[in-house]
Amino acid sequence: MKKINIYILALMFLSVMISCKKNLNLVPIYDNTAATAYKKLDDFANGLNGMYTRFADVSYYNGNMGCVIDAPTDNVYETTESLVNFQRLGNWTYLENEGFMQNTWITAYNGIYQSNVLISRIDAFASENTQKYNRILGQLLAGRALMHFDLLKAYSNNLDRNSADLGIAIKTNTDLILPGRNTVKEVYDFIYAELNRSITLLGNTDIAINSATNKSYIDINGARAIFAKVALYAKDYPAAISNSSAVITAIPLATRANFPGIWNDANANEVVWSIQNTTGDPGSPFPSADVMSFRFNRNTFGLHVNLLAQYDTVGFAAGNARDIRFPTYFFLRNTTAGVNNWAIQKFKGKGAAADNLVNFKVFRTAEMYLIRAEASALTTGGEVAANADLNTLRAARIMPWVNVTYTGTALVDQIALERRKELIVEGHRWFDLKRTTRIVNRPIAGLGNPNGLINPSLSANSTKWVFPIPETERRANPNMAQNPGYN
Amino acid sequence: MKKSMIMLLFIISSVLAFGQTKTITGKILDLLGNPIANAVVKGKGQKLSTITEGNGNFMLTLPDDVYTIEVSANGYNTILLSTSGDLSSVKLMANTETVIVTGYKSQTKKSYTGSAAIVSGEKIRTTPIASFDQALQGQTPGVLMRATSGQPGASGSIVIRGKGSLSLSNEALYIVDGIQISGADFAALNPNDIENLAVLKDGVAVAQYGSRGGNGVVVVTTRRGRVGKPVLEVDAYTGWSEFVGFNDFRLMTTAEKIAYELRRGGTSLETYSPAVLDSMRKINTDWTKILTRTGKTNSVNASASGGSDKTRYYAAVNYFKQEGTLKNTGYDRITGRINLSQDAGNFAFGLNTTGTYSNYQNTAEQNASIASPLNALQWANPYEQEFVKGFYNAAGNFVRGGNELTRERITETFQPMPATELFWNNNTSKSIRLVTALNAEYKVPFVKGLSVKTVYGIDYRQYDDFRFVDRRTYSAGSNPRPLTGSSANFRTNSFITDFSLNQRITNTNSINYSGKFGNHTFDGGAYYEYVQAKSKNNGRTLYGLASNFQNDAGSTVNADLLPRLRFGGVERRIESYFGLLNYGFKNKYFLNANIRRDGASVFGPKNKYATFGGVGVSWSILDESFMDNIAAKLKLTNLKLRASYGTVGNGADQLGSYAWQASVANRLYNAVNGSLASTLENTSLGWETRNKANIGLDFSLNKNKINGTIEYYNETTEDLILASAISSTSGFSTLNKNVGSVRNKGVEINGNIIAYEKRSFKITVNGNVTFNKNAIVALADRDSIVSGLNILAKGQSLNSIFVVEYVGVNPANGNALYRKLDGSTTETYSSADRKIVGNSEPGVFGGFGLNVEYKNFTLGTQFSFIGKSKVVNYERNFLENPDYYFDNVSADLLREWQRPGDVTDIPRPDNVFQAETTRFLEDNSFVRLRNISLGYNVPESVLSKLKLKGVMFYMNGTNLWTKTKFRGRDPETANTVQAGAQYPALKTIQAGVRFNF
Repeated sequence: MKKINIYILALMFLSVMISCKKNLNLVPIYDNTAATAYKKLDDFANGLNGMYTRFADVSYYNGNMGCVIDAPTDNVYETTESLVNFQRLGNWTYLENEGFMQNTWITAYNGIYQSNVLISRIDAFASENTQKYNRILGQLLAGRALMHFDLLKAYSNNLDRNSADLGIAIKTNTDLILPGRNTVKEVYDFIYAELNRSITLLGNTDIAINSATNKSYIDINGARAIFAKVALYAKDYPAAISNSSAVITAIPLATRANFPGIWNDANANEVVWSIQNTTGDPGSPFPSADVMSFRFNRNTFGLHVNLLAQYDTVGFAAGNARDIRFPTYFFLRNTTAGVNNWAIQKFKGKGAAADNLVNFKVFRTAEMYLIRAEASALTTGGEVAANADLNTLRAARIMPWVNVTYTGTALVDQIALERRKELIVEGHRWFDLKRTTRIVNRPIAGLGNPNGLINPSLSANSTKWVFPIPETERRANPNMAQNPGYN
Repeated sequence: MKKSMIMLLFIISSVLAFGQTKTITGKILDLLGNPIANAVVKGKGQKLSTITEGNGNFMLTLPDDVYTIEVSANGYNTILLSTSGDLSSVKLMANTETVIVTGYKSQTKKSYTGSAAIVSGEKIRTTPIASFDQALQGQTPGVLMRATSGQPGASGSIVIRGKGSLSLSNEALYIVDGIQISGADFAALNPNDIENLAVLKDGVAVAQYGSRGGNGVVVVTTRRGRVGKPVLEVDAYTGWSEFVGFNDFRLMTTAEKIAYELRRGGTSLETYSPAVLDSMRKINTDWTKILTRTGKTNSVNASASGGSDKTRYYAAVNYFKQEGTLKNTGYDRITGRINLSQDAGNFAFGLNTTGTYSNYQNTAEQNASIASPLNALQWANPYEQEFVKGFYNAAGNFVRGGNELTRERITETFQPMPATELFWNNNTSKSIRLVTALNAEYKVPFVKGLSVKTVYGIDYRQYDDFRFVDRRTYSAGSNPRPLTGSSANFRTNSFITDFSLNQRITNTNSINYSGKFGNHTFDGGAYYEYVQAKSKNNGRTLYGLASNFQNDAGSTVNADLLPRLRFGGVERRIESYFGLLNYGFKNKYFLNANIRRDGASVFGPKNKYATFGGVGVSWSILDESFMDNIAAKLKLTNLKLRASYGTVGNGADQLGSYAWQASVANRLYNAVNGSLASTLENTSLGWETRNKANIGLDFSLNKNKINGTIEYYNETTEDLILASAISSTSGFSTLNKNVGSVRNKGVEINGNIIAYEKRSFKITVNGNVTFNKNAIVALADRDSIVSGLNILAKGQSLNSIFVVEYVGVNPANGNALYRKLDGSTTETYSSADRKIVGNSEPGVFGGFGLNVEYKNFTLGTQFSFIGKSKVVNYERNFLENPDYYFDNVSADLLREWQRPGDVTDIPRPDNVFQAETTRFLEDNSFVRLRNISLGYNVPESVLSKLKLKGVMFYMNGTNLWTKTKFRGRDPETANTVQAGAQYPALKTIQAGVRFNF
């Protein structure tokens, strides 16, 4: 009797205590993990697509490094409709805790991490298909180099090829470390090597990367366009000329008739690489929400009167403007106290849509002409070639156009002006000023509702030309030195 | 056998001796088998009664035809028994005054060594509020309850004994009838269903819940039926609530605002002719009046309970409806509950189940969005009108006139119109919740005191959210536009549906043993517990233009209007083994101890498991013989010293389900799937550990007229989890890590005094206060972490506010002046001059109340207060930033600096505006009359004619009076930064009646 009781007790104890030993090793239901995500080249192609989503981020080309970076320049002014969202940027009153600089920094390094994960693992799969491997790795290397360059141009001071100034941290591994800043020269060395390798790989791929109408990815022309731009900033004019020439040969300028179609994605003429924005994107596929939001009918940045005066608007009222860019880029939004407020419609939408859902053009052939013109102008004996490029571009945009020849400073100034007029809100003006004259003159008077513009000009010796290393980074990483003028 | 023989003899002898009477005997015990002295035993409906002796024995003579006796004792539930049953060991269940239900076990208060605050169901029921969690406010020491929102259906914030986590939720663990429920479910409980509520605070109390109890535990026991005739209760009330305005703060009027804009220049007003401006000056729109209303509240509750000695039941149904004071917000809820218990020999079964259906119509809160009506209340200009007719011309410009009520641009400044957001859009959330717990117990017949018990429960919640966004409103801005057809390039309406299922299964199996050997009493158990929480959601957004359909029927699906789909789901598990032991010696020395081993899926493989435990001792000093003289002098009825120490885990519930893992998410680019790293991995991410020490003294003086408790606690959380800043060069700015520790120490004092009692007049006073000191003890690899306006710094409280001191304005040039760290003033703002200027962790809080009973009237008041608390009133930032002058702004800007020599505190408008300064730092300490109630009980003489057991009429006022320096709408915020869109706590008056049948 007693024995049976003990058995029953033991049984009860077992049933209670050992009834259900549960598995506590759960994996995400709707996500992959790093351990399982990359097991064949197709997985790496997926990961590569992931890297492009970083370029498409609102803190990168679909925002901060796209149109928003024109805010502190003389291209645009902030309207009263903006909710003062870009006031500190536009007024050059930003400090080390400014969200703009933090988000740009984080997003670019996040993209670098994404490419590092893939680059560090992909070699084991090269044998699967060498040309496919080339296609994926070539883009990863070019993308990673471009992200390093975009950081460099924003957070470093002297951008010359052999500058000993503090650059940014080169990051090629996935380790959690506390790197310091490499010099500008070291960063250039890295970018040059990476781009050279990328161009080699992209020259031998299994399939074409882009089509005539879809330029979503960095192909060999994209890699060369990056190189041309990098070389121009580095004042390495031979490399700028050779790389831009290669792109110009491969992709001609759009005709005057086709030019407006570039901006509503009716065609992809002269587009080298554009951030593809589609309805299904979970992010913010609206590159210009912060210039003129057609979605919310809210205009944040208007065309600055100084730049307005530079366009040839003859014939605009009759619907036959001489400069095709003017009616393509701008529209008259309203008139306040007798002053016309011109809003920017460069990112209105695809086709007839007015929803801001449109591709962001990172590189166009027009820029290649401007790079080659500038590089030539600054190269001994290059003024003829520079004038030729400038006239070619102007002839493609302005009708009628009679060639003009400039020399010396006038030539350089004309090229800079044409950059401004051609590339407004495409992410160039701030950095063009930074690497050249370092002067912004933006008088308030007569602009029509400038909102909170306190500082009318920025001088060459201002520390604001160099963005602050974000406070978040500095607090986490004592090795990351700050730029002068910030804490 | 022997006893029943004796009883039989008694019965026979009594029948023989008196003929018409009988004598019964028995023994009255508590649940642990201790005798109860002075229990009253009487025949039902009889006047004659007897009381039990020190050994619990009684003898009672009854008329022959009385078959039921009633046993009552102070501190125990009254029961009815049949005289034909076995009366040799009648066990009384202690009522809420003396028993503490800790979830796994019940204990008498005397033997309990932990720190627990009990709120009786009666007290909760008499404070009619929508969100039941607010019943805790100001009532229990150590519990900081803040009703952070007046939005109907919103739940408050409860922090027990200070914040012990840096980044994880500090929300307590909620247990109802043995199973875990969510905070939202807790807030939605029907207050009428509560038997009692215990807040477990110290180490030994919460260590039982080892893995989940770190933030403290709220244990709710719902009402049970009692043996006897059915008790029917009906309660109904109705109430009216008001929207609360700003405190010591006002906005500009039309005249002021137009003058201000014209002086500043740069807005569209300066282009208008004097005639237009004159017509605008005649408009003086009161946006508060347009957007708010008197909200009505209605509640009806009906319950029935009763039972035999084997079966007991409680069933209730409640309907509650509350209109928000902001128009088109509201909440209504229907709750049903059935609690059943059945004894069947050695088996006992119980089922507690409740179902709730609620419908919640809400508006966005706590944000700085221009589309939030609660912000627009302030921001809308007084010269704007509610609706303006107009349309967009081909160029996209707004033209006044026409027949269509306009889309977003109906204000001068392109700001969205708040009224349209509220009146044209619709935001509802319907939920069904089911909390059901089944328990079964088997008393092993061949080993006395041994039992096996299982509890299996489900907390199930389903939400069905629907949002309609009218194409004319600002919120529709991101909606697509069809490119073809008659509506080409008009934005569409959107129909947003989200559905989620959430379930949490709790299963606890245990073997328990309780026994008594001489002076020693034991009650212990070995437990296995498993908690699994799963949730899944999916949603869609459809677009369409058909304006006659305000639901999916109005949608269109084509290439331009592709639906958006959403989905997701997570799962987490916790598994635990543990043992509990309660030991008593001579009924005056007690020991409670527990130990447990927990594993949780959310932690990294290196630190999934951890061991926690607690031990507590108590000493009933009063029971010592040397106390006899003192006790008699002070009329002491209780004097107990308690001490405990315990460690508990935290994070298993709060941390993201896959927090340690390197997740890779699917992301689209070029309409092609891509994969993107979304987090970094930390394989050693592990438990936060709370070490809790507590010492307390309970006393009752002057024959229970003065009751009090004083406690000291010292709690340290180690291995705090924080999304810790890492170098962004790693690809991410944060990584979940265990860093540092934080300490909360404090003193709690709670007292209850019967100040006056004579015949039918009674005055009682209650009060409690908690002093809490919160400080960060260590941060892994740095001295401080700054995020926004907050800093985490060694030696400083959590949520310390880190800003530059604002000094004032330089009268010479109108520039703002700031204080540098060296004490000098400067016109140059620098983040290097930031310093800690206070924190939002209240250093002192509590409540007090006064209750008066006179004849059939009762009057009660309950106040609550919070002190030593700072908040950044960011709402003022938006209203005092001169760059926002296209919207309405603070009247304080009327005194801004204009010319040299002006002495003022508002800088010139074109001075660089800095928001992160002490200019917006405010003290949000407050004293609030939480509740005032007046009740009238209809006298028995009237009741007997009406054949009713009880009728009570009552009136209640909630939040009728508040004293604070905070200049916003409501000081009762749990945030460090009051961002905006505050839905203030409601001022409410209610009137109701309660019937007992």
